[in-house]
Amino acid sequence: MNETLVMESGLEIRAATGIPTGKVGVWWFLASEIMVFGGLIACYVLFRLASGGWTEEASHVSTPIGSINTLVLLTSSLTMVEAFAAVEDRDHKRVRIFLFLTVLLGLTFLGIKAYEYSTEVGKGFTPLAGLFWSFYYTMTGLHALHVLAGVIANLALLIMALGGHLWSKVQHRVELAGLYWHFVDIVWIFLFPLLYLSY
Amino acid sequence: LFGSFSFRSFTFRIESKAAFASEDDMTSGESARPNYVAVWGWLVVLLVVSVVAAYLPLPHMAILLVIFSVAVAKALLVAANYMHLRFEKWLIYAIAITPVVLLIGLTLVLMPDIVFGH
Repeated sequence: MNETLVMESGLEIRAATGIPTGKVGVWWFLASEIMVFGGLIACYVLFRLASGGWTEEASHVSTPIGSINTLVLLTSSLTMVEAFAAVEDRDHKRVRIFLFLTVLLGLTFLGIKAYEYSTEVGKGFTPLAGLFWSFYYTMTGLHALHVLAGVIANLALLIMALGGHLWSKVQHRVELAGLYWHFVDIVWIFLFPLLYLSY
Repeated sequence: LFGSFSFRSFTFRIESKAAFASEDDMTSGESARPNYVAVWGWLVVLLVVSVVAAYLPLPHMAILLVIFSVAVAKALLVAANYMHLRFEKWLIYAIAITPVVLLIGLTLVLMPDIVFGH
């Protein structure tokens, strides 16, 4: 039952599940991540409902900047999945281009976020300025760390692709990195209305 | 509602069989592939809808309903199409859905005490 089939591409597929081992592992990891972010979001929602809302505090975040960053992250999901499609098509050039664009958009997101933080801190809205701001910096900070981890993973894949090493039985990692990247995108999809729109 | 919406509207360009979820070598051939650019287009449209709704002079509850419905729709679009959940086996669904159910349960059981207990 536990036999493992190793395909030419380097994929290991469990005979019992018919699913590549790496993919099952990444989904287990994402399940634990759902609990991490979900726990934070649940606390935020419950505290906000309990304290009658933090409308005044929440009105100071920049909705235009948050919207632009949402667009950047959504677009990076498109470039990531296009990199995966290029792997399927065995198109080396497109893989390199789309991985590069994904890394660039990830860094753009972090740059905009850093600008946003500096603006808010400059106005006195530090993590100690109130419960809303404590949640804001904790949730967006943890998310930004995940974006950074995704950028590093994608950059490693890009370097491998540029060196021609991606095709030596590890190209399936583009899909695994993509699963993580899209998950980070989904987390932001919920953080955006929670922090930027529901004032 | 949004599930069927997303699943029906963005399938397209089906070339042959499911990607990666099959036992076949992932690079061995064609696969069912959603139109990724069309999905991105819908994600952008939904983003605009939620931002515009937040600025409209609507009742607060109506705005919350719109922006969080849009968020769920966007998350389903990404998960189904970009993460290929549409093509996955039951085991992946089980792994993904279990923590979501736990989380909703956790929130609901804590709500009476934290929100209404004061």
